[in-house]
Amino acid sequence: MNVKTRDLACGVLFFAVGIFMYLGLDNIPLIIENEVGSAFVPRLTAIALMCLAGTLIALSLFKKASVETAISTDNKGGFLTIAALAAYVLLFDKLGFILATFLYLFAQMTILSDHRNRRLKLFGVISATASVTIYLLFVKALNLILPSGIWGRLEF
Amino acid sequence: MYLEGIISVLNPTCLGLILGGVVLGIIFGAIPGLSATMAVVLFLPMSFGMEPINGISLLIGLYLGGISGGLISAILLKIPGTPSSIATVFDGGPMADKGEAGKALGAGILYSFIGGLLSIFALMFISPYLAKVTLKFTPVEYFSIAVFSLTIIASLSGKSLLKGALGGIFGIALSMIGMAPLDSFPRFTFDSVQLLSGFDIVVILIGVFAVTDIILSGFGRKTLADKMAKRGYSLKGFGVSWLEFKAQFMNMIRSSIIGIAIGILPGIGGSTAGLLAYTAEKNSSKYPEKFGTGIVDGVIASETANNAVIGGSLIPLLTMGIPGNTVTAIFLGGLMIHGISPGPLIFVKNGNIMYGIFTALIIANIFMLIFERAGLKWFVKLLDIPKHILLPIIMVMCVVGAFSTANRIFDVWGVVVFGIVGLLFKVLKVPSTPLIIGFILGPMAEENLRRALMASGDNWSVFVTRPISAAFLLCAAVSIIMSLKKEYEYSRKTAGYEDQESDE
Repeated sequence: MNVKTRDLACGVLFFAVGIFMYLGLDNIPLIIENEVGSAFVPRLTAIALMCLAGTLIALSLFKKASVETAISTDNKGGFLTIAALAAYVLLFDKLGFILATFLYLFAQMTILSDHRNRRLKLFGVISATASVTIYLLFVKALNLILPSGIWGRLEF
Repeated sequence: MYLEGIISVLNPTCLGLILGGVVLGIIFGAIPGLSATMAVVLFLPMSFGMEPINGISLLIGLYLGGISGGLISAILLKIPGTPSSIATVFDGGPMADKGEAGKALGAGILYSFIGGLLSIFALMFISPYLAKVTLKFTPVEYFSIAVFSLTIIASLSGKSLLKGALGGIFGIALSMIGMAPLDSFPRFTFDSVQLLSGFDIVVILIGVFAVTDIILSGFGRKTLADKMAKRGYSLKGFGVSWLEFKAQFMNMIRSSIIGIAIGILPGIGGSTAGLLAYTAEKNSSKYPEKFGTGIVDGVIASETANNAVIGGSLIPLLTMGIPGNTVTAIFLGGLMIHGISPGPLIFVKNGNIMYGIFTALIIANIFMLIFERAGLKWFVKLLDIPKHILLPIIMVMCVVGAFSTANRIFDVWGVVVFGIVGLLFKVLKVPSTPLIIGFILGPMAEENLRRALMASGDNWSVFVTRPISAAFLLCAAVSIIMSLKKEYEYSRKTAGYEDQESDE
């Protein structure tokens, strides 16, 4: 992406957030007397966001289009990581911490590794050990709550 | 009374509890998402059944260890273990990349100790006088401090002040999600019960720092193994020579004063202290352009200040009974359960406990220094774990931390969403630090602005007629003008460079 397009996109995005914020303040009433109310600072923030974003848009329009040195990225790896994270959160509550964590760890290690260091058996062992150890440490030793999910029927 | 207080701490049980507290605190601080506050909350019920000084010593160990432990993950993983160590990431992370993880950790530990020690001395010798000064602070002054602190965004905006300001205001906007201060009117909640309480700072921190990092590692997975091979670390003493120590003396003193002052003022916190000290050191440095590239000055400023907050925050608690942050509020509960009422008469009524607390603080600080230094060679081993194995495990710890903030899956979704926001910021070249600063200081500015206006009958002139407030606003104005001037000079230089390039 060239610098001009990027700054323009950035300006438009923040401007849109500012408008969205401003429009969301219509229904906030003034509850306490002698006070600016709960809409005052958000309104000020929205206006500031729009002004600064507008300035960025204007500046980027006058900017010469220059291309930055492209850094090679592996889009597949990035999007698979986002998908693995989303799947982890989805399964976190349903399958419970141990099972969801095992699956996530295994999947994420596989995604991040390449043909030189992809050792699936090792990933399996580490995933299982880490998920059980973290669960026991937090739930049993520190008394924190973690979702047990379908794993809840088993007692440690 | 002095001796009685000191002796009450110098017994195997109490020393063991302080040591255990420090070690556990460091572990809590080092794991992203878990904090000193959580450590103190978890162990508070355990302290109820103990002798007063034993219970309080345990809490002191946890608090001190929790604040100090944050530097480990901030330097080695570039993820602040606690909000207090945000500024440590800026130079600690790049130092680790350059193979100076040992030096960064060593210096961080040493200056955490010094910052903590100076603040304890402040607590011991000048606390009643300092407390009297802070009593003069009203919402008017707090608003002006928040405005002044927000101007640090300018120094931490990287190459584009405009984008930094946009990031900061976006952070302020995010902090407005949930119930408004004073009247609790729901804002931007879209009828969602989960959004009523807004987002916790831990969720934003984990998202923007940890999740963004792991997503970026996915995009750069081809070079992940190579990056690993280039990293190394040196390890010698505390990583700071005598010459460096002398050169950093002013940095140390300034950062300690900032930390103690921020600690005394209720409701600001260690994260602001670290950021303010870092910015102050950067702005007064002869080589400000080197900040963020991995120099020890930044680590020293941040770590000295965030540990100096500890003693500072105990000053209003012990001398006036005013808790300045969540940990000291829990402390207050712990003291009162044991029949100790903090306030001006505490030295008269519970003098032995007070001197016991001072002794416990000094001992906890020494244990922190010894344990962290001894564990240093083990901490840096984290760098030897291949990233494709380490990063997913860190992600799991972050998820546990996010879930534990309020025991709800909503916060876990929050970290993923903010991870994607952080990624978007990286793509658009918007610095993410201003977002964090805006999120921390925005609510403080809004709440105190509204309180001040309500108390003054909607009279805006109070902000300039009260001298302390006017001084802070003046400093804020000067800071903004200086930043704009720097930005203008920088853009002229870059424009000249671009013109030269196009001519060629």
